[in-house]
Amino acid sequence: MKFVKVIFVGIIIGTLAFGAFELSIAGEKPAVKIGFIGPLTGPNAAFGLGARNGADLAVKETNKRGDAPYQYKLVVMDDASDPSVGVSVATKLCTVDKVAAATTHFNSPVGLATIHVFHRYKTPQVFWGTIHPDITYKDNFPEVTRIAANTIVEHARLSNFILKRGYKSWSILYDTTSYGNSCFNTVKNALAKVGAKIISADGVPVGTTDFRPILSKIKALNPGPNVIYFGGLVTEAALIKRQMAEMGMTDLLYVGATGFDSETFNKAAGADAEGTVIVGKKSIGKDSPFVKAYNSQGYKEYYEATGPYAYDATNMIIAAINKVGPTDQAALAKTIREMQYEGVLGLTKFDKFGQTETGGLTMKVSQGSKWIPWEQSEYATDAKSLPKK
Amino acid sequence: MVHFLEVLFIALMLSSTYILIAVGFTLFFGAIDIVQFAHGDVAMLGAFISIIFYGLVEVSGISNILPPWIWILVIIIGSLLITGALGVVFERVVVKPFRRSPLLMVLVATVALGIIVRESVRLFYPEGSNPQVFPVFFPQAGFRIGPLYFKAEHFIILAISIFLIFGLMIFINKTKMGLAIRAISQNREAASLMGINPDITIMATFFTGSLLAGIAGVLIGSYYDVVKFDIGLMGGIKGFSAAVVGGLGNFQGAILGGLTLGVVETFASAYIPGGMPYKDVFAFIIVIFFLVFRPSGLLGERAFEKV
Repeated sequence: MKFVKVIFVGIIIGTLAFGAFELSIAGEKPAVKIGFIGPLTGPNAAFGLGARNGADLAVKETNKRGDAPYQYKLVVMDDASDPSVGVSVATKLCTVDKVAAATTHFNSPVGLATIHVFHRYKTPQVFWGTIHPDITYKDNFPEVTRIAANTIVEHARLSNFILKRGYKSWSILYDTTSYGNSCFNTVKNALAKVGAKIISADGVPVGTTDFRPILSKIKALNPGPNVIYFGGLVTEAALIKRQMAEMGMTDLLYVGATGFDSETFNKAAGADAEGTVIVGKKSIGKDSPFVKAYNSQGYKEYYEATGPYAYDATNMIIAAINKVGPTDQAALAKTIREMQYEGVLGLTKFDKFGQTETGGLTMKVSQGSKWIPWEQSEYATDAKSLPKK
Repeated sequence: MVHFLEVLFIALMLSSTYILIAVGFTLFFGAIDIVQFAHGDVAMLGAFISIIFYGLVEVSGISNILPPWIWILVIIIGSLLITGALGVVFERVVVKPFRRSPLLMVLVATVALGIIVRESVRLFYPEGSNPQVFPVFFPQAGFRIGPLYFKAEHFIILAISIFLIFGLMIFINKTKMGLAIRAISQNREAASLMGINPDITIMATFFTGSLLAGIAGVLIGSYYDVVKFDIGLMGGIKGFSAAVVGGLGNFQGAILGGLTLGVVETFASAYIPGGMPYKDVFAFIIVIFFLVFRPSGLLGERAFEKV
């Protein structure tokens, strides 16, 4: 019994000593937590992990520089592209971790659900991804800002670009999630504005592997389209392109939006990806400081199109917290909204709905199994030509 | 007319992918009265194992030394044998403990097994959440008949599928092990009294069924050129539905059920305006119709001679 008492007292003393030691090495700076939510698992994990690493890089660099009044910590959560998971981790960030602000989401359906959580807890939420207009325009929550372009801007850019090159007859395919549906509605309006003709429009369930029946239907249309647009994500986009090639539809241009702006598309579609055109996210040069810093940290995953966005979003949050502190969240939200930030994306400025006016959009073409910015591609110089019917 | 022929061929290919899975369900249900809900996921495993073998062959440089048809054959046979062996392991671990329990227990256990297999591939295979390119095993030569495009690969896949299905039917009806399987499906006690070891026979059933799943995985992977960790889920559900529509326990029924589902899905997508988002709805309405009005399926349960 006495032996047990001795051990017990020893443990208490040890814990106190360790605690005191920890406090002493933590330094004088108060700690501030910033939340990150993205799909770290599931079919969009590549985008989520790239973004997480971008956010992590921003925090590490800030702490290393040491010029901020706070010691930042990134609290990382996985939404698995699932709205219900997103809501529960968002709630945890706001209530348990009590983050000063958070940068969130790749998938619009998840974002549409969590804005209500962040609004309830008055926690600023800077979106590094998502495209759905309703995230910023519908409720205009003061906590919400988005540094990614929304789908309306994306598709206006895409339709103008493609129309200018003489592709007037479009067949539209879109996935039946709210992402695909918003792509469809937006591209429909954008094409009407530029005077293009929509020959056919069909929804495809996510998880469909065989697109041959619908492609056969499109092939048989008379008059047929000269471009096929797909509003959806990587796996389906790659399967459609492969099956288009298999069925001899190589004279049709294949276009899309940021949903398949990932090298996973090029890998999955293989040689058939050649000549696909998308409106993509900001393209960062290999020699840029961001890429150099990212590579020097030794992250296992590629930064994808999303890494730079999360990097800028996190840096914006840090800049705002440095200015007004982490406790007055209303002031923090206001500061972020009014910020004009020069980062890897260029200048980020928000409109009165918290939506960025630029978003770093870049027209890209798949060349040699890589997404190349249009201006730098052989297609721009006419060394290679796009499919034309 | 041309469009119709093209759609018909697409329907035929899609049906054959369903039939390949459906005959597995038929085997398991007909022989040992269990619904192996992980069957689709075992097929997915077969596809992934062949991708791994292909990677090994490339890295080791064997592909430069031996002619393609040799190492392709080795890869395919190797993955089939491993998938079959894994099937036996699954049987020992997941199915055997429930041998004396109600059949519902086995069904739930195999559903759980399917989840474990799927998630294990997603978690442990590098970039498991992403679509994986399936290696090219068959000649890709394309040819045209008028405006219709075909690939040599498609005909090879069809030929192998037909060969497999008939091979399975011959195995069940004409070999000694097939006789043992049919015997224990009729009356397990009487069969063991006759000297048939139910343990070994059930193991053989799982080996054969999982081998079949492995081949299905390779063929389906070759047809779509891309596989993903979750193709076994929907594939399994569709294959099971095809088997039910045709008559669970009946091989000809599995063929008919697969054709029915494949044709309905393809024609709904190609011909019904706005039909593509609902292609699965049409297919499953047919399944519900059969379950309600004719649960024994189109051809009923005949192949295993239940008395």
